[in-house]
Amino acid sequence: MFSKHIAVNLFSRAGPLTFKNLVERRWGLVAVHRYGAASPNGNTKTKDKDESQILRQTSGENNADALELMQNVSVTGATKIVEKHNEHINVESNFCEEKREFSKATSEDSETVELAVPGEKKVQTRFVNSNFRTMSITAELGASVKPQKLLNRHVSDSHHLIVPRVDSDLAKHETSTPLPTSAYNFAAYVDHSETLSSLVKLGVDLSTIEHKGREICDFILKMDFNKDVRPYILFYKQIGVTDDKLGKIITKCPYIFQQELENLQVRINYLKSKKFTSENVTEMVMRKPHILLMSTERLDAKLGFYQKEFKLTGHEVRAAIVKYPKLIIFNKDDIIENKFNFHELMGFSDEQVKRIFVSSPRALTESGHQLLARFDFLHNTMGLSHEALVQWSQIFMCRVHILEQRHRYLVSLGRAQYDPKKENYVSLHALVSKLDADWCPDVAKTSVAQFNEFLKTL
Amino acid sequence: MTWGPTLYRLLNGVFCVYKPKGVHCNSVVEHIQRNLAKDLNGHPCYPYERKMREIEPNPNVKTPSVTTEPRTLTTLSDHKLVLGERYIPPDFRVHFVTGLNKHSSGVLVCSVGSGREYLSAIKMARYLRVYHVRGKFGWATDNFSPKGKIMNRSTYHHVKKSILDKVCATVQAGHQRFMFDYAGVTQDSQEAYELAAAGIVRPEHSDTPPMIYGCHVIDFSLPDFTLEIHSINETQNYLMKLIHEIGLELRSTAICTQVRRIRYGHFTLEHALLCKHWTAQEIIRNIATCKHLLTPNRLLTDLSITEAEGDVLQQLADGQKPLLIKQGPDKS
Repeated sequence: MFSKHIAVNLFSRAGPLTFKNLVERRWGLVAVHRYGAASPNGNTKTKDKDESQILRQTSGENNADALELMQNVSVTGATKIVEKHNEHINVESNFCEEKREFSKATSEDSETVELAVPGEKKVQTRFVNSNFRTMSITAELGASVKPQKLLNRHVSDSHHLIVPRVDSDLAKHETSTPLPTSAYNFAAYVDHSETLSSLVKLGVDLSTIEHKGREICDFILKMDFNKDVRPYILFYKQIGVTDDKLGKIITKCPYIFQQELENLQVRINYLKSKKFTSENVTEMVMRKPHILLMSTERLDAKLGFYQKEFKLTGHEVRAAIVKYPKLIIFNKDDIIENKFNFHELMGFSDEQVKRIFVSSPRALTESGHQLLARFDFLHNTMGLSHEALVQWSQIFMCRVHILEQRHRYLVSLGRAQYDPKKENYVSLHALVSKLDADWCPDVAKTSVAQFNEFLKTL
Repeated sequence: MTWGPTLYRLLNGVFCVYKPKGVHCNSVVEHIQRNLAKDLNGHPCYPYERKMREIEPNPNVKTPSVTTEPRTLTTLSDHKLVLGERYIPPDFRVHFVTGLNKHSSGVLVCSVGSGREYLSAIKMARYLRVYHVRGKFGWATDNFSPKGKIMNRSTYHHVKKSILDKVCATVQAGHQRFMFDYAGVTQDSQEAYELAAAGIVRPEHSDTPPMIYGCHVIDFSLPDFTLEIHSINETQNYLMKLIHEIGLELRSTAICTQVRRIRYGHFTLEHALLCKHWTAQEIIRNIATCKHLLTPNRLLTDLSITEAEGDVLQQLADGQKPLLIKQGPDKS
């Protein structure tokens, strides 16, 4: 049940499409599969002389190229296997049997991959995607493994994935089923595109990117991995982004590929010149990669805005931005409106609004009417003073129905005591921070079942 | 971890939730759909996500690949990151019967998947619904709720519980006067006698005016009071208006501060799932619980036996789903 209803015409501006065109336009095509992707099982049996020639060609002539394009997968034990690749290899059909036990892909599924660029420091990254090891091994063995003996689909199919990047002469062997000129999602192209398959191996969620619009989909489809993607990944690695975050960052913000690499470096340098430490910059980029899309002028203007609007010191601005990097890309007008809400409608003083911003900057980015509803409940129903709210301003991020449920329960128990000078004091932090399973025994001193029963009277 | 489609197959049936106040029933449905999609996507949903049995390397056979873990993903185009999540919220067909308005809370009977077939039977059964309605003397607002525009202020110290009891009895009698009319029988006939002897006299269909079978004061502490109302074919707005009219009858005014449905036929608060429990696991468990409430003797109230066709009766008696009941579920 793949209920994806978005229609993305991925090849909108492509013009007449043949396989050769695709290759010539360097859309990062990687695979030539003579029998088309539609019949992955069939090719093992019908593999003929021509295809083995191609394989020999790739493994012989372009051996170095091939290895590089296999993205220099270093797999433990793989070399040992390659050494005896001339031996007769028999893959038993009991290679893997299904068992009705399931597990998520574990960390051991990931592969260490060296992304090497000539003249530059080698940077190691980990492909978080599973299922890479088998494919690489069979690719290296591609020339010698007799496909008709490979009874198992898992091994036999994978060779067409790893056939190295095609040269123009190889493109003569066009697929019997040409690639679709338009598609609903990336799935039709992933097997044929080095860029897309490499992105998936990095953990990029292509299905999420599809929702970001046609323009970016077209752009990503036309990228070349080595030329257009690799430098950006190296850039991310260079500023200290961890491997497991790479995929998430690209998923969140694929627009980064549309930026000039020099500009990105300039923006990083700018942030560092504003005394953000490199750890801070890394953290910010990992949490909100969109900040790198902003020009230096706009970055500067935004930082200046916060400093001026809340009369902050440089240190306070930095602390707030590091705490909530979304502030950089957040709309100024909304911040001004929320400041107005806090100041005029709720009656906090300028100094108090500043303290709220410094301690929990996210409060200024919540929607206005929700903030007002929360304040109304906290101040008018629970009877908390402005000063008490500023003391623990994270309370403004708590949803009002949670406040209401817990407060009313404490009232029914006679435990709603929010004055720190009296006994049985319940702090705001204690009121909202824990899950019900801990909160009921710790704060309300009752069982969860009693709390649930109470909730059914609201 | 359970195989996702296995869970999806289990999500067929009737369950019961506690609708919180302040949200529409449709928001409740969307919330449940979102939660179900999220929960099921957390389980393995694609064939390659199943764990394969690991095989000890056999020294006699030179097999290169068995030393590695068995893999099942053959083409990257089958990967979750390419195809996206397997389930999206509209995959879960969630419906409800006899909704509650935004400001009321309480038991809401819902169905997921093929459970919808039962909803029409539930609607046909015309179950009695029990409400706890809370009122407050002293105000009158334009929409009878505390959030409306205040139209009038009044005193209420002359109101006593005994007088309120009397008014409630009047309300009950005034409605029950029309009981046989709504049931479509003449009051003096043999048919009416048989209906009354069989139990509660239900209205003929769901379009009759609201019928209140019972109205009692269960809590009285001025200015607040709580009524327990048993009714069929009511709406929440009708109950709020009733509070307003009781206020006027008592030479005062009253607003309705809470409408809470505590029972819907055999579905009670015990069965209802709280908002925090609207997860796949809890809903599947709840479907199993509610299955016992869908037996033929519970679904076929006296009137629907006279209405239902013979083969439907036979189906229900055989424990099959009532496929032939064609009346659509109430979505008011």
